[in-house]
Amino acid sequence: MPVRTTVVGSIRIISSTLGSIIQAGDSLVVSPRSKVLAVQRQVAEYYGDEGSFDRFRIFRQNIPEPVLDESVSFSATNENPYIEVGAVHIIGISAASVLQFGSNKLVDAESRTKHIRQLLEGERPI
Amino acid sequence: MIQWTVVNKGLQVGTIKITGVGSASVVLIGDTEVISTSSVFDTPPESLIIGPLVPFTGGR
Repeated sequence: MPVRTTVVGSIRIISSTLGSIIQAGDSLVVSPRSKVLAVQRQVAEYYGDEGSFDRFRIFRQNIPEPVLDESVSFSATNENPYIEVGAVHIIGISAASVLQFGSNKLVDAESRTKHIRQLLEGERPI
Repeated sequence: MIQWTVVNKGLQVGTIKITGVGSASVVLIGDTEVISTSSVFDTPPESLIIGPLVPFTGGR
């Protein structure tokens, strides 16, 4: 498939975190991954080397994908071979996200987050 | 079989302003063939732990 050329005047990004990708130019496959164990504690005391992803199913389980049971014949003609953008302003890119100026063939992104809260006292709402 | 034909004519955009791109999202200014993204987020009731602070087992 013929690809177009991306022309961007200016780019402003404040932050890119947690396994994100900013790509200027073409690529073939982009596959960012992030695994996050998000722990909030009533008292902010953390030991820095705690926890193991293996203990939580969310980091191991297969994520189901839609079944493609229909074949598609795709063709594109580029009458204008340029995509032109004046300016791109983004505050944050996070958790296995992709920002690409240019073309690729496949994006395969995956983010897994386990959120845990620890309180010293109180009652369960449910 | 589905026959899908695209004719790309001129594409000019002034300014793109985005606050956040998160959790396996994609912003692509260009062409692609396949995009497959997944995000799982887990906050079950048992993820609320009430009691004395106990560090998680299993170091790095």
